[in-house]
Amino acid sequence: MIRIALSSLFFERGKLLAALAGVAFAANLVLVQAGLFFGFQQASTSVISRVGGDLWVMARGTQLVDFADTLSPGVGDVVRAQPCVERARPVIFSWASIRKPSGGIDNVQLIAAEAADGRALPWSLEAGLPSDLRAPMRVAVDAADLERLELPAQAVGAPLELQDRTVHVGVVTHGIRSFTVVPYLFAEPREARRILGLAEGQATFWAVDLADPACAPAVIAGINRHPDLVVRPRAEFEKMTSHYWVIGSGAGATLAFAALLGLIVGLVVVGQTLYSLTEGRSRELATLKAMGASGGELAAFVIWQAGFLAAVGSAVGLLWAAGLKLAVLALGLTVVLDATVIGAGVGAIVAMCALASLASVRKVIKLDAARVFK
Amino acid sequence: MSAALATAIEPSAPVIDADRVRMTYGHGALATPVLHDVSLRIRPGQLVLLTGPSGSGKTTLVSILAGLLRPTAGVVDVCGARITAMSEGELARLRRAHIGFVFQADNLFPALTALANVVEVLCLRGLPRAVAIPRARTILGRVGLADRLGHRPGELSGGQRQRVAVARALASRPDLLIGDEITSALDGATAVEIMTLVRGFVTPTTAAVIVTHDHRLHRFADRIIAMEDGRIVADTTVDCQEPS
Repeated sequence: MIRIALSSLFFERGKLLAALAGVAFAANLVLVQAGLFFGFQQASTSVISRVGGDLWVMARGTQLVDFADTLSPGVGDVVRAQPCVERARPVIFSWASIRKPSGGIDNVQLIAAEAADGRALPWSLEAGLPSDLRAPMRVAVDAADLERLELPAQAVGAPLELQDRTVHVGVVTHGIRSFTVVPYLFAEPREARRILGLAEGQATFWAVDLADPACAPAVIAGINRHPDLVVRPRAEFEKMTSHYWVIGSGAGATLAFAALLGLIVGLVVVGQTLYSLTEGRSRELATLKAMGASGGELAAFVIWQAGFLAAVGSAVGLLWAAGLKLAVLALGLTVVLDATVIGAGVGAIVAMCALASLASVRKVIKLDAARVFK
Repeated sequence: MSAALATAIEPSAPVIDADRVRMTYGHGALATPVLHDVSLRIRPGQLVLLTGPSGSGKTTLVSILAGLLRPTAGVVDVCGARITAMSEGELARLRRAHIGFVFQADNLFPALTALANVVEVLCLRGLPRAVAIPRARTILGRVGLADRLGHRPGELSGGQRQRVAVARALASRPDLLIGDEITSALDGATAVEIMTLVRGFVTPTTAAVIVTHDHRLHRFADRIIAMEDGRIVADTTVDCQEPS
């Protein structure tokens, strides 16, 4: 039946192309929307993930990394005093204002942290080295923000008025964007404190590395006794931050709705095409039924066609999404196309094609073989 | 065809044995009787023409004999099996194993070549492709289409398409061939060609039942059954027949 099914599909090229376009469109939309969703999640939590640590200590009431009060200088000692704490690293994550060469004022987020072992902060360097930030009043700027900050294309060494202090660009990164697209500027903790006017030992968060992850409940309980502090496992804090931005902002729902629309469009196009192909061949299929073909064999006529459309349409949609992923990088958007997203997207398309084929499958199974005599 | 069904069929039995078959469409006040206690026995070796005016019940009767329609009353045996007592699945297996069909329209898949139209049906009937292809080539050669194997139905004449349909029906070597107005859309010479093929199919172990309005075909028949108002009104055995 596969030969009859696929030959009939290829014979009607107009319908085949329309159906493939529908599936590819749906696959592309589902993959890109899902990829953007995970991209937004990554963007909103990229600094937390990069800094790492088992636990994060913050001011009580803090809900996300972007809005947190600065902790007092003694907090680092409180954290280090806990048993099982191997290392406590200060993280500075603060809003700052910048005066552009044209005189305009803009907001940035100044980030500084001691990186976890084996990780560099910042990452994805386009120009300069992490050690370049150790020089006084040096910051890292992302290439995508140069125009916004009115910096030259060759930005290394260029001056910048940050918090009414003159700093210089030491490093240019590539593709490090916040969810809100507010520019991220990176600095060494010592330099960040100078720029922000913080005292030695002050930080917005403390990233805690434990000697044994099993100690986490005891450390959390110990620090949470402090009335102004709260401790959260890093994964939980990432989830809270991404939930705030991606779900709370409505961006997640918008992406899901767009993906759903794509699936509905695909469902209608594929459903119509399969039904039309089945209707057009109903006399021939009824003849096969008269000759003894079973309902399952006749259903295979539709199922092979739906399977082909799902496979080829998904492949085209995936290539299309991969192209769009590259295109939107220039806009500062990240589309995550990993195995999870691709698996979920293709699964959704297969389910859509299966759903679209139901009416046609029902039609061929219910075909009246006696109609061939009429 | 299941093994159980195959062993139930006796070679000496009539190919068709229908007893007091009645068929009524609709219920109550809308009930329309179309067959009235029709009894019929067709033995192997017979080419039977079923004739009669439109609405006489020919198509309903042949649909019942083919196991495509269940009668309101009466019993029908085909190849020794009581088809009126069979499930849909058993009926499908019986048709697959024992009955070939040719219709007024060729009902060929337009996307498939003449060869593929025959091969795919043979494969659907359980033949391995390696067996189906040479058999389909042979039968298409026998109906005069050896040079048209790679042509699609749209590239063939009406007569050629009907010959492919006949080849498709005969390729699975059925015991019974059922045809419905198989020459009505064909010119006289082509109709004779098609009926010659059908005549050649009928052997001492096979039979054919052809519904027709076409008087030109009478010379091919062993027997002509005339129907009117749902009853058999004449059942004539023909002595002289067209040599196969």
